[in-house]
Amino acid sequence: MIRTIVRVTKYAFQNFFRNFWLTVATLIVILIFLTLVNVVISINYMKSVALEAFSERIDISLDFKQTITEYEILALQDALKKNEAVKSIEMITPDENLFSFQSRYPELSEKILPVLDTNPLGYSLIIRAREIEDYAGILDSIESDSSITDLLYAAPQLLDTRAITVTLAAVIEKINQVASGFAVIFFFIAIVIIFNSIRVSIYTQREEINIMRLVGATNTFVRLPFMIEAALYSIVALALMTILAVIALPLVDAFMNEKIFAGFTTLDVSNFYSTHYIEIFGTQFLGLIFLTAASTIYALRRYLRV
Amino acid sequence: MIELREVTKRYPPKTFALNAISLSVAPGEFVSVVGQSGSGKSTLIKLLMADERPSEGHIILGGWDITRIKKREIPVLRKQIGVIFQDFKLLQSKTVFENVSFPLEVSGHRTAEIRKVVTQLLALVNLSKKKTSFPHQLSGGEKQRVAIARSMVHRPKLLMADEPTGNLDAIHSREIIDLLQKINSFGTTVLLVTHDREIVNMLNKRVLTLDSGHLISDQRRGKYLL
Repeated sequence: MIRTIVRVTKYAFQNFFRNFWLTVATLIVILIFLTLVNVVISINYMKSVALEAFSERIDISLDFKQTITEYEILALQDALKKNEAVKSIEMITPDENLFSFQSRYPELSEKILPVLDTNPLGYSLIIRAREIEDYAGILDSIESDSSITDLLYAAPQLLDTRAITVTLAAVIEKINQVASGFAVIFFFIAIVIIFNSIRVSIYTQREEINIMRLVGATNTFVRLPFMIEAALYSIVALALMTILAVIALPLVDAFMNEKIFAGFTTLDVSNFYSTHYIEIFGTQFLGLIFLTAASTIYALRRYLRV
Repeated sequence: MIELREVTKRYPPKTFALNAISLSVAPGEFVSVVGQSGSGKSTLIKLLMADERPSEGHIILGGWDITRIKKREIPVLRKQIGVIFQDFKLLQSKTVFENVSFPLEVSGHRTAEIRKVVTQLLALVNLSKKKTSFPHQLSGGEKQRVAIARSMVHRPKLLMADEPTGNLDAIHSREIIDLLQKINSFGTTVLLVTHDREIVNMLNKRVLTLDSGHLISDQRRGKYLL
């Protein structure tokens, strides 16, 4: 048994290195497949980073009447925190609101504020939801509660915000659907590519397979070297992919951060890959092993008359 | 050694490659099978190595009725007979040594034993110096000698040669026939399928003549009739 394993492994390595150009051609196809898979993974990661950054910039701003006291605001803040969809609530004092207004509209401030005796702005609460799709629910609960809306200075703003968040949630859902659709289509294309590549590799060696059978090799003895060779393809292709990722990902990060995400958020695909290396490449390795092994068994059936 | 009883090989719908052939070959004989293209010579070899099954009749090899041999028994049969072909059928990605040792490796023989047997056989076919060469680096005659060495690794009682000189010039053909005669002199039964008149006449041994799937002649010390 051990002797057989050693010998079929030796045959696999011999085939791998001696059929050099066939090996190179097969490896290139698998490498292209892996590259495309990792492009999809990277784009998916970039999408989630972008959405997270975008989500951070969305909030529900409740501007209260000037007459509402800090005590009432704190009580309301505690009540709103009980909603599980609420991630955080930040309280802005009237002074902070005034400072912010002056910073944003300096000319207007110079004209208006001297006319007024006191700070016209009240307290504000900035509410952030855990998930982007939670905003609509939080808005609904606030709108339907007259004990809150009665305290607000500018209720109509709520409706506008809700429209934006609902639309945004729908857009994100669409993006996810399209991305998932592409991933599924791509997965099937990849299976066909790998399957055919292995088939071509075995087809070119059909004469050798017949000769092995003619001189008394059992089907197992013929099949096993091809199976091990397929595993070798997977290991080497994945190693090459890792090297390619180490070289390319910092360049991708630099390009995306300079051209696409500048001033919005910072992308770090390299770090994502290094912290998720086992999950990302482990899954790809298992998938590749399964795919190449299944392709090998299927392609050999014809020549082994199983 | 070989016994065929009323063996017919029919390909649908009505093509008879062999038609009710009966013959027997004794152990240690050297028999030439001659005939024109399509006479059934190669079909006979395919039936004897269980690459095809007869439509009718019985085939017995060394006392074993292989007429309805099971698929899992075919590797066992092929370890007991040696076969060489016109196109050599060498494994192109393996060296001379590896080609010859392959049948022993698949049979699970020990490495030391394989090395000993293969070294002896390569010496027999005078290819010791080419053991690390690949088939594409050899001449036609050398390739056929590798094939003969490989066919002999299991020390078979029967060696079948299907047009072994078909791709060779006269000098290399003579080398191969001399080698087959040498192997026959050790006691191995040799079945030589050929359409080379000169070789058959030179051998002056038993000749079976096939024509359109029929055995039309069986001469003890025969000549090429057709």
